[in-house]
Amino acid sequence: MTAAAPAAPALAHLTLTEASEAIAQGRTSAEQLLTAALAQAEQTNPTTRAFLRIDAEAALSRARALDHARAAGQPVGPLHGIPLAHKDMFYRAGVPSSCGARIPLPIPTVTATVLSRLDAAGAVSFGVLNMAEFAYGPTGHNWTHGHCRNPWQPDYITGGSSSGSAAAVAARACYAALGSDTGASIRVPAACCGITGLKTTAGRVSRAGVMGLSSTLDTVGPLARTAEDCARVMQVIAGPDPADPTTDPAPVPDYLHQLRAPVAGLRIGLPMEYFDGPLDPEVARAMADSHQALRDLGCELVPVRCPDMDTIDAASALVMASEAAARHANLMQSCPDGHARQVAARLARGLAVPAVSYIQALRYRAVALAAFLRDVFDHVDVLHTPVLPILTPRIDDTDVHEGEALDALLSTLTRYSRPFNYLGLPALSLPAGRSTAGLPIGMQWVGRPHDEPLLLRLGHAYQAATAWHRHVPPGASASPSSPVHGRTA
Amino acid sequence: MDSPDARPDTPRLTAAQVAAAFDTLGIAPAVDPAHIAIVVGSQLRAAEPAFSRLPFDAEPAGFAWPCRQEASS
Repeated sequence: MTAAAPAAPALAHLTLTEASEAIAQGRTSAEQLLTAALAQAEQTNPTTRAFLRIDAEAALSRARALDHARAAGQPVGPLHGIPLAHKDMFYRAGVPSSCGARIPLPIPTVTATVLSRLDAAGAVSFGVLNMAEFAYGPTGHNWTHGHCRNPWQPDYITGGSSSGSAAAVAARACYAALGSDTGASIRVPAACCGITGLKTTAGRVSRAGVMGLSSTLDTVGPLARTAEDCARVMQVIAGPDPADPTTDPAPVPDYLHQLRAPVAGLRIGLPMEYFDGPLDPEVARAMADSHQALRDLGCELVPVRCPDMDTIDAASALVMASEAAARHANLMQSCPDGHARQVAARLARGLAVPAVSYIQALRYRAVALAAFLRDVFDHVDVLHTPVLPILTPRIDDTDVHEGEALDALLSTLTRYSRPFNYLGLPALSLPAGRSTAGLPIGMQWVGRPHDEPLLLRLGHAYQAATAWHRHVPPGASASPSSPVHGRTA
Repeated sequence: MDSPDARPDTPRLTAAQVAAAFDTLGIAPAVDPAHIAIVVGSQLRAAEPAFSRLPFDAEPAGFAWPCRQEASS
């Protein structure tokens, strides 16, 4: 032992990277990390409802086995002993997955490739996390399992659909979590809860053994406390998978190595329309602060004009509605009351999309991507946008089920994120400020296909110069209180 | 909402067409077909100009997954 082992609360507040280093240096153990995470989950879950199930005994057995293996000199993986929990839609053979639904679903017979890869890397999965029903909701409401609550202020939404993933990571109850993103579902929860989330390039991460919502828009990615932590998870889960023929055969880059490359000189695109308003003044202020932070890092801010984003958003909506309805049509026929009202209302829309229009929307996708690459990424390296145009809303104010109120909610919460699922581009959501009400404000960086390393590198540099990602929700705090200002300097 | 001419801003889908789609699939409508006609109709209208310019003779590269990269040899 090179130093005294940290106490349990301090262990829970380490980043994944710090926890990994503590294990590697013999300053802590898998069992100690898990014990700290379990204690934090027990402390925060009555407020957040992030966990739907905690498998403490099985996880403790695995953690002890990992500690014994390490003590015996056996090889250890890159996530050795790291406690994780995941959105309850990543299947493990023989274990029920609720998918956030009210109706019981068949017991999975396969294990998701991403879970197998995390297992092989030495991670300790110790629970499953709340989510929007069938991953089809941007707020974190769940009328069956209970609405997930924001660890910063429990009357406010977590964002969805990876609600529990964001809430658990923000509450320091696990070091990272897997989520899925079909239109917003990693980026909006990360923004609302003040953590870092990566929507991956289409095809970069296997979806085998993962509940599907929209066949051509679904992506899997990490939510964690830092960009560096996301890189560590990506290093394990990314890459081709024979079980998922839609995965991309492109080689997996060294995400961690590329974090250290310089960012000075990168061109950051500021969109001149669509993303520029109307913004809540506090969101606009946070974006302006982030612009200055990027200038301070030596980046060049460049105005860019995006192609017709309203058309892209409309095409995205048609694809998502059609594919979700097709997936759920059998269930809608056999179990008319099987979905929550809001989910049923959204699914119904897909039944009305003509097949010709759906195919046209798929055909237009490559055309739109080519235009976007030309108009944006011929001029800049990264596109910078807010995640949300508004401040995080309250749960009660967003408890809508159908009609124009639902239309307005969906449009507001997904307008800035959904187009990038349609385009297939990677996008990083990371904290950029706090509102006067004390809730996090998030920003989104979008990159070229397979440019996750660049997004993570820029995120790592930004987080080395700022402290928004180090802020801890009041209910999760067991150590010094959150810094007042985001900038460290 | 059954006549496209009744609401010039929602010309591409009618409540009757939506109701027929539900009926064809044997699914009870969960919400008012007229509202679905308005929402989906507006999306179709927004996308139509771009769809009308799609080429006839070639599938755009990548189709549903345009970001896909083939492994280099």
